[in-house]
Amino acid sequence: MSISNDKKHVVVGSLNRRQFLKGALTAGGAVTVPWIIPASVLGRGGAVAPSERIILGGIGLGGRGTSDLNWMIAEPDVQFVAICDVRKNRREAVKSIVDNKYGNNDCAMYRDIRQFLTERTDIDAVLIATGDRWHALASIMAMKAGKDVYCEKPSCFTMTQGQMVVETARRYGRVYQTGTQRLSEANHVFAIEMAKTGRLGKIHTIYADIRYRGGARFDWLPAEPEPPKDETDWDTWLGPCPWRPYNKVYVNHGWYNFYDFATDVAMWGAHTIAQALAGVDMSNVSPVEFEYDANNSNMVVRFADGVKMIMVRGGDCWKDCEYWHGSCGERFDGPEGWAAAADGYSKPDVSSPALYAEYKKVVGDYMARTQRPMNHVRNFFDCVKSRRLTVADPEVMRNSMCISLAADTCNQLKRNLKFDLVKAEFIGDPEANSLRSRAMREPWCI
Amino acid sequence: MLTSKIKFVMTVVLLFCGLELSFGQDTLKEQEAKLIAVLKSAAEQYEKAEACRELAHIGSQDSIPVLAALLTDEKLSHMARYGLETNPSPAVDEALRDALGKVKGRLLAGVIGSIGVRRDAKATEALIKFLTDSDVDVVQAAARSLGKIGTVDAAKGLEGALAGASAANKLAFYEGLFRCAEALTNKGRDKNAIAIYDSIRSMPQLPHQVLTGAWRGSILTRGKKGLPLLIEAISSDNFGLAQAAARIAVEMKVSKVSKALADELLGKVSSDKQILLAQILGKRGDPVALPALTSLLKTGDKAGRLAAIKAMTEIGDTSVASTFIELLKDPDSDIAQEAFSCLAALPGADVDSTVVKMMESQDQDIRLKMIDLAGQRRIAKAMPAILKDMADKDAAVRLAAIKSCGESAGMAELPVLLETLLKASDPGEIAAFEKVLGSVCSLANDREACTRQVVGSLSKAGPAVKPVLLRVLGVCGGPGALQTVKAAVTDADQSIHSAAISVLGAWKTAEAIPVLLDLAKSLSNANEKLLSLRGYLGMAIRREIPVQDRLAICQQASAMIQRDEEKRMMLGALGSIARAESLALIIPCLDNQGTRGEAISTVLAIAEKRERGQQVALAREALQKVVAVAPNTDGAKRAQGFLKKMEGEK
Repeated sequence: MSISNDKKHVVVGSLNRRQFLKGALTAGGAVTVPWIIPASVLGRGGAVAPSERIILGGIGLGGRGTSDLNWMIAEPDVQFVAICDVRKNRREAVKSIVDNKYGNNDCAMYRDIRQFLTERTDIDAVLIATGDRWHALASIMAMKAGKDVYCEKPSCFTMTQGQMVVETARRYGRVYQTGTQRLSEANHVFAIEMAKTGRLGKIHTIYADIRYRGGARFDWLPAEPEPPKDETDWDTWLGPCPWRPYNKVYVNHGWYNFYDFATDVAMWGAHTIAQALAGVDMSNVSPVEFEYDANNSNMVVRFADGVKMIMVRGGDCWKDCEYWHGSCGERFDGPEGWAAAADGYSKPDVSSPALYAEYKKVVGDYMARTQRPMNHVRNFFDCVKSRRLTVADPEVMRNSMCISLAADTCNQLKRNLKFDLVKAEFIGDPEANSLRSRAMREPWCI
Repeated sequence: MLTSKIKFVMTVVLLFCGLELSFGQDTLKEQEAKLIAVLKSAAEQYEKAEACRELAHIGSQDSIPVLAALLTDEKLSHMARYGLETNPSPAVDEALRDALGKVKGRLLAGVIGSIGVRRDAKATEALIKFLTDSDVDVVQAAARSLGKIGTVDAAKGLEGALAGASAANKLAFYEGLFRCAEALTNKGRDKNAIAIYDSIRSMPQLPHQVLTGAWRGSILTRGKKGLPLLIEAISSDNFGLAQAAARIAVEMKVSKVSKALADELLGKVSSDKQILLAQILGKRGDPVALPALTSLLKTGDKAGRLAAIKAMTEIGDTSVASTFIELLKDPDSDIAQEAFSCLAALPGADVDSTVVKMMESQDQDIRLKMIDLAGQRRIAKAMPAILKDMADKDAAVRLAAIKSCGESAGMAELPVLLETLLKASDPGEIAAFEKVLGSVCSLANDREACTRQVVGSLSKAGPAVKPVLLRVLGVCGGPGALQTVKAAVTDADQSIHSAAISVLGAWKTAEAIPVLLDLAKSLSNANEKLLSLRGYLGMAIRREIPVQDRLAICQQASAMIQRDEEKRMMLGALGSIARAESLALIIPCLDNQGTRGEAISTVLAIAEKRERGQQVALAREALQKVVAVAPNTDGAKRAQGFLKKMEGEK
């Protein structure tokens, strides 16, 4: 384990929660939250009471992570205290945002995730938005260390890792939310609830957008000199993935295109399959059949209960398609009509305007029934305090990712596959099953 | 399964080695032989790593020795494990066990990790020895892998070494023990699992998550017999433990759990714990908790009372409706509002009936809220009463009824809505009617039918109502509505005339294009002329209108535009159209300080999409002008880039 050279964390990391908050109050001047008795004083041992603020940390926050960060620190009961990142410029960028927000210089910086998790026992929850290769591993490590986790999508890289996230969350009673934020957006919730409450009749077909294609390259880019470890810790950046020589393209978004660092259609499936599955009864969908047809722009997936899912994969993911206009859409078809939503909608699409008339009631009833707000990070923080399951809990993540990853396998092997979703196992297909996991590079075995 | 890239690489390597080629028709066996040959050759790290990757999917017994030999290779050990981990042969387990004595440090941690993945019980004894290794990675990997093996022997090994484990390694030991307990539970050996959990939870100063895990395992593995333990945890003064118990209670399917939680809620517990318990009781959805929640509602602090209302709503029992109705008059407005919101969502025909009945309440405040609720709950049987209330002598009741009607009214209610509107004189009520009618017409399947009814009412309407009906026709859209609104432009009444102009200016469909152009040219009032011009230009942004028509709109409009605001609007439209022939309209805007920024963006957007050979001279002129008017800017740099690409283009 390496030790960060950042001096700031040594100072801040040694503060207990009371001292930290006192600092925030005096330095910020404008903090309006009431004084809070630290959990340790009340014998809470790190548990967050419903009346208390949530101490938050971040792991690997780049573009998407920064967007999440800004969303989260706007919540009045959340205090962000430390960032862990293998890249110095990212650590400093996050620190700048956070310190500007609080009007102080207190955001601590760490390079080494193990040091971060070991030292910061004051942190209740972490936001994880690393590259995809680290999502499950960092989630598991954080939950073992007693943190609740909000992890960006795709929240696992392999089916095995996804299962381990589920087991770890259960084992330690951790709250976990995967960043499928559309599950907390009113338009999507409306479409989902129209399907789930039977207003569209018994759903026979669902559609999900998987038009983005991700990691399919196996080559190595030309070797470049490794930057100093404090600037970019390349070995840790690689984490559990096979070693390869450094090239700056990887760390500057280029990783998206490489099999070792990204999934393929599962990357977009991670954005949309959870939405599609949320509208159907999941109790009897397994086994799931994936149909490979090179000439069909869509992939057909058949559930055991007769529901058909069309994974829409032809065309530009940012543009309109046959089933919705915009990206990351889903649609539900039943005998009484259809409902769809996608990014950029002012209101959901429905087969008949009359279906839309119930919009307010459908969304309102859902919120009252589930006590979930139309705000994905708020739902997470509410659950950190209440210990309830989030809308995108580990099971939701695991099921949607298994189906997304199985679609990847179907594409890779170019043949039909039959998949047992309960066991996360292809039926009678050793070659397909060999793709459910990837050996993790030492020492990042879990 | 071999990717084309890998096939190519392998082909090159094999050629170099003088071996036979062509993966295309190979059987898996032949492919494997070639991959093994790569591993045995002097190929580079990349080629060997890729061969390992492929062998993970097609490797048989034959590939095991060559992959095993690489386990000690600093550069390829991980990829050798990659190739071996998925191979079902027991020979892999032997190879990994054999490697334990040959590697150290990180590589050893990796091999131990793979043994765990494969759950090789034969390695138990060897792994137990590593629990006291000096290398942290090795110790932790051994603890986790023993957990995956999950036997009684593995657990004993972990328990035996736990006391001597360093603080840094303790979490890995707990993890290993939890995994063992889970594996033993899955094998039906509950007693062994419970012993592990009980042993851990009796340890002092546990990290909160380990404490949670141990109690969780102890309670859930015991099934029904775990209930006393759950109650003990909930009753604990340790908030962390109580919180852990709350989480466990969500998972626990035993029926008496809700009663136990409710009893705890009735006891002397802190405000925080009250909220926690209420939230969990809501999630469990068991009506047995209702008396305790009602008690919290009466005696709790504000946060507790709010939590109780939400929990009672989640439980969904209609009996709480009367309690919530009482709360509508609570002195705390937040409590009253929460009760109202929850009443709106509380399911059940009983609740509907109560609301309808209470719409006749003598208490005006309650009556108004019930009228509102009838709309929010979309109670169909309340509609006659709502329609009747729209003509009530009390203005507040009328207004509430109109708004309530808007929540669920459809085509069936359109005639009576129009009829009542014609009699209305209060501006607030008329405005409320407008919203309702707009909602009904926008949701109607047959907009033409709406138009016919609204047009029918127009002739009977007074001057205060006519503008409203014109705006509703704007919502209806279509040629019939357009015709009527267009005719109203000539109305002598200024308010009706203005309303018609406004409606046309905001018209959403293409049939209004010629009407708007005509108005923009012919109207004498400057404001109205501008409104029509903007409406006309707005059509150029609509993507459903053919590009050629949108371009023509911009060309027609450009001659009439005087202000920068409209010029910018036109530039926005041209940017979305992105046709090179429109550059002639844009170039003059580059000279104007007020439109330059948008003009540069538009030129660049067009340059981005322009096909080679298209409007070359015009494109070059526009890009050169961008460079000239905005030197040393990002826009100029991009323009120079486009110009460079255009070199030699004719």
